[in-house]
Amino acid sequence: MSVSPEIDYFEAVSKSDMMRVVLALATEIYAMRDRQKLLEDILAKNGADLSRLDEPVEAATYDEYRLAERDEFVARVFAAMASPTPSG
Amino acid sequence: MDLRLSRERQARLDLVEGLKVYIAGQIMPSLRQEFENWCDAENPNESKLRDSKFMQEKFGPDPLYQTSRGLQRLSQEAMWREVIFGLDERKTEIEKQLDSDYQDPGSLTLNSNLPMPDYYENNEFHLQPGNFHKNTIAGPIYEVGVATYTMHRYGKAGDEMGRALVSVLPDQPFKRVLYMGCGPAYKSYPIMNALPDAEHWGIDLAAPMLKYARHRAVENGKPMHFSQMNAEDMDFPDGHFDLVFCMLLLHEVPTKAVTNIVNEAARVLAPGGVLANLELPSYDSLDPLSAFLMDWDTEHNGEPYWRDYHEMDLIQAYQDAGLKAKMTEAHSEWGGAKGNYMGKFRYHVTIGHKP
Repeated sequence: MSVSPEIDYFEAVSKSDMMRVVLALATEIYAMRDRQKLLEDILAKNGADLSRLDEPVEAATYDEYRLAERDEFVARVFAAMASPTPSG
Repeated sequence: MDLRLSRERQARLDLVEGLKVYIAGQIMPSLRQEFENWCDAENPNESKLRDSKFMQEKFGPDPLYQTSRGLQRLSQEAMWREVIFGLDERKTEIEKQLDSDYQDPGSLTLNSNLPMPDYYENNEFHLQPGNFHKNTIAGPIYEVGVATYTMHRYGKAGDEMGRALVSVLPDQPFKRVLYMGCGPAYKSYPIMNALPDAEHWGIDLAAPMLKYARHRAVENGKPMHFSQMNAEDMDFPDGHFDLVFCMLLLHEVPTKAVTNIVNEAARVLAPGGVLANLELPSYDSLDPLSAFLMDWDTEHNGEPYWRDYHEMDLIQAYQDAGLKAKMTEAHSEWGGAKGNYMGKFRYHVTIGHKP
């Protein structure tokens, strides 16, 4: 199937709704990524204490490592939004 | 009460907060630079820049402006969604804690027959779903949400505003103190610390907020009395308090209600008493771009009375209520934070003395 760049299949679709999807997706990915990293840490130590996954934690604001990871991730995902191009 | 979320749910919220930080730290400075470049090139006069219709026509179609506003709105929606998702995991446990029967100093009086004003009943302030009165755990939701909303710049205790207010209160012996629209009331702890011998009261329309306020006060050793009342029509006798204050309350209500609240506060103040209202700075004290961006909240962030509040003459309202009024400024740690699109600002505190 060829791509038709001249057709905007989503022309009448709200851009805000599309951004809601993007944000929801980013949230899901970030949460999975965070969980994955923690699992890797646990496995690397050959421990199986998976209860850590459900432990309450402080906001990333108070954890230098997670804060840096978060901000780097957000900057990468949303880079296009820092200097958006006009539609159409 | 431990309001920490489980790791996964906190990560979801961290992402949303990260987006807010990105908007404030990356997108808004670019927008400001674009605005300044345009001002340098076009040299528009001040009255044009203060005309929101003109500014909307100029910046409304701008991709960077649209991006900043769109992401601001969506991040706010996402924030509440993730806070509620995170706390709902423990909702039953939290509700049980809020229903505790305390013997500690202080009290909680609820009034299930209190009518909710029309302007309050169906509004969702700052887009918080269910507002402050329709979710049994609205208090914890508010506290976690506001900390995220403000990118944790109010400090871990969340009481930065209370510290600012204390710094400008007149030095006089307040024996009985009332906090109107107290919500979870933690913002008033610095005032309680500064007036340890006074009797402290807090009122609010929302029962869930008051139940959380009471729980939190007991946990923190703050002997505060909470009562479910409307600040427009309080049950307290005339001249009952030496100090009545509110923080970020008056911009949430229509101007008629502001007038009613000021009149009612004046009524419950004893002669010599003080009414203090802490608010964000007025539009005219901010640069035009900041004022324009703040004004956006009126239609897009659950702040329907924000613009009306900024356009009303509060000093006149105080004077009409029989108070000798003046506006003073208080230092804001938040207002000096890096990346805050409003730049550095100071809180505005309207102080009224009852003769």
